[in-house]
Amino acid sequence: MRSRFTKYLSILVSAVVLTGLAGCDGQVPQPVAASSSASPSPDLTQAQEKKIRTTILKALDAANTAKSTDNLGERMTGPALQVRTSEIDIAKATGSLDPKTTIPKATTQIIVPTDSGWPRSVFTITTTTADQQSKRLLVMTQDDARSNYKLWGVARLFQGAKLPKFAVSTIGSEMGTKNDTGLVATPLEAVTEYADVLQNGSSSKYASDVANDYFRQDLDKLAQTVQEGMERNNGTQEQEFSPVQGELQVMRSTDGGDLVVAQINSQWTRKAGEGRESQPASDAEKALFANGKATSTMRVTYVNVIALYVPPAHSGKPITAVGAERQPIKVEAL
Amino acid sequence: MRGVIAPVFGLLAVASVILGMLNATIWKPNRNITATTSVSGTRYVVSDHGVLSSVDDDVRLVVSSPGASEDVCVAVGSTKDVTGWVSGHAYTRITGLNDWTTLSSRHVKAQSVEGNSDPVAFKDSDMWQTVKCGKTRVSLDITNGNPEQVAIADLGDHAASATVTMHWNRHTVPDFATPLYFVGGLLALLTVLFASIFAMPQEKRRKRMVSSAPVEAATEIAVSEAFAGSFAGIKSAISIKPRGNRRRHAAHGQNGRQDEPFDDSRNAATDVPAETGSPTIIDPMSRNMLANSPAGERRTASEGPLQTSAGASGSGVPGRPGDAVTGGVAGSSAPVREMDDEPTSVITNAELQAYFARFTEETGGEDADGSGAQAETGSTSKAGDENDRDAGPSNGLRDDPRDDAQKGSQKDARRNGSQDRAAGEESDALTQRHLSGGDDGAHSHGRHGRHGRRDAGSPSMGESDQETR
Repeated sequence: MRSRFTKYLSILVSAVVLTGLAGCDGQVPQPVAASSSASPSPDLTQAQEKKIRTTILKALDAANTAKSTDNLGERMTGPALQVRTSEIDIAKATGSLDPKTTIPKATTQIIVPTDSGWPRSVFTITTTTADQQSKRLLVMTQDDARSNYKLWGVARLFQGAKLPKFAVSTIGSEMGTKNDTGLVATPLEAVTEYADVLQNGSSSKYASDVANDYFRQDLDKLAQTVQEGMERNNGTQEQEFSPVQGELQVMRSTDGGDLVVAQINSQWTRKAGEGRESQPASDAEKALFANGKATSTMRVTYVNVIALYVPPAHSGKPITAVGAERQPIKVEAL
Repeated sequence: MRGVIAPVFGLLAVASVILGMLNATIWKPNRNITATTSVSGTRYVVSDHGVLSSVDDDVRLVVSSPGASEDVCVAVGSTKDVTGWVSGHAYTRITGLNDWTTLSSRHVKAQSVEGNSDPVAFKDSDMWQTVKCGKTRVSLDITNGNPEQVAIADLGDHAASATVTMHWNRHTVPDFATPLYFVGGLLALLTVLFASIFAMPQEKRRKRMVSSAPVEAATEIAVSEAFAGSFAGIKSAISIKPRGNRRRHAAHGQNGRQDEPFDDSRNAATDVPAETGSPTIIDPMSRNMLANSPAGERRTASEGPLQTSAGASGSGVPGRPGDAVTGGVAGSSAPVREMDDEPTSVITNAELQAYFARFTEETGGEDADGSGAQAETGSTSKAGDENDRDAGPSNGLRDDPRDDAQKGSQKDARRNGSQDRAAGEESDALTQRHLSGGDDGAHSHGRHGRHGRRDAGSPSMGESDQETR
């Protein structure tokens, strides 16, 4: 009968349709494609950064304790390697590390890059030390994908120095280059200017562009003291500051300026007059000089790690140093 | 409808529910998904963006390389880190799921990139979030994954072949049963609807409404009676209505077909026929209409008003008295009708009016006509009492037999006197009562039942009816 046939047909059709719906496990999911418009993610998670820093500091502590510089190269590079090597050498002579070498384990700010290429640098600001020394700015760099992070530079921040603002580590910040525009000067220029100011003081042509800071004041005081001593003996002294090519780390802050950490080497040549010997000017120099034979001329090579804040163009602010480290690495009697 | 569509829907509903149950039990989607693939020829195996978390957030990645000479290591890192690590090397990409048990993979050639002279070991790299190594087999659990995380496996220097397996334990499994249950429920509801409501013929629906009407009348008798009584008293005092020949009850028999049902307005305007004399008492309940009705003409005629209310009811149905009366009342639209001489299945107007008149007098005008009633009262009522009442085929009317006797005597008296006018008044009163009281048909019939008894005793009533007609 027609009605029965219709019945059977409808059952069949509905069964087929419903079975199609019933497909056993569902549709195979497709992986979510990476969206190109997604904001860049930080290169390191907070946990990863902490792990890296801890590893580095542990290696450092081990070297400090052993007063051995053999394995420093595994986790240190750049000016920090030179500084720490010298410090350990001095410690070997004096018996203990200078207190300024302390690096606290706790941090107050972590600035993580979002760049997907290499080299990468991470800026970390520690807390003040247990004996109320100022905070340290640590710069760790990764040269390429198949290298690990190494401590590149350590700068002691000046008391009361104002650092620029950065995004939190979960968002990440952009790394800068040495030729960043939009600032009062490119990072490279800023370092050059600062070196010039260090060298020439207020008579530098960049004196107006660079603010005064503790480091300069300290250096000036030191130079003055030495100068007085030199003049008593009719000696001369001169310092020569020169930025080291390629040793520059830049991080862009959220206010448009750049935080630049650079290595500026300096050579301090002291000539004692009247046939006197030029002696090391400090304990450190003395330790480094060790059993060297003093002559009338002494040349000490310093590694200076300077942290500069380069403000954005037309902001009316000068280039300001926010932290520095100074360490003699070589003492020669010429 | 009922025979075809309802069963179809019913079967669909059952099929839906069965399929739903199957989907909830046998065909329930698998909670554990294990997909595997084998790779060879490259040292590194890298999963694509989003593959690890494609099925569920938690995944177990197992890399097994029986032929590996060195440790097999698996690490999880961000896409850019992994890409940086494998740049300059050939690697195999795991691009996704082919089906529920197979992973799809693709081979990527090395691009010439300067390599680091002193690379750090795979497992020592700072870039990985987690790293795990094993001799020939590594199993790494990745929880709370996000699509950004990718896995990279290092199969060792010699690039041994390996099988990569990803195992998910799904937290949420797609539910195919609930929609089928829902559809089944809807279809069942449709089945019920199609089998019951939608299948009902329209006449049946309407007819039910019609047939309930006479029942109403039975309950309203008391009120209508009261109204009728008062109106009759008023009317008889006020005026004499013209004697239009309105045969409400009989008239519709012939012209009923043309009439509209329940047109009460017409009733109000109708003239009262001037039948006088004793009405013919007919008890429609004891009547065999089929036997008595002379022709199909009458039958169809009597159906006329019935048709308007329930068309499908056959001609053979002896119309309920109520139907007939109401139909008759409604049907008597034409002012003058030809009266059927024969006693019909329907009560004649004269009869009804006479009855009403009697009732009026009994209830309202006893004082006036009491004298006439006395004589008969003595003869009949005393003996009767309640029993008489019950014996009669009345519809519950509890009159004294004395009242009946009174009525009868009153009727006789009226017959002799100015019958026409009285009858007219009575019928007027009756009309009023009939109107006010709604459907007095049944009641009237009950009364006529009594009259039926009396019929034997007063044949002159029928004659008078004929006269007035």
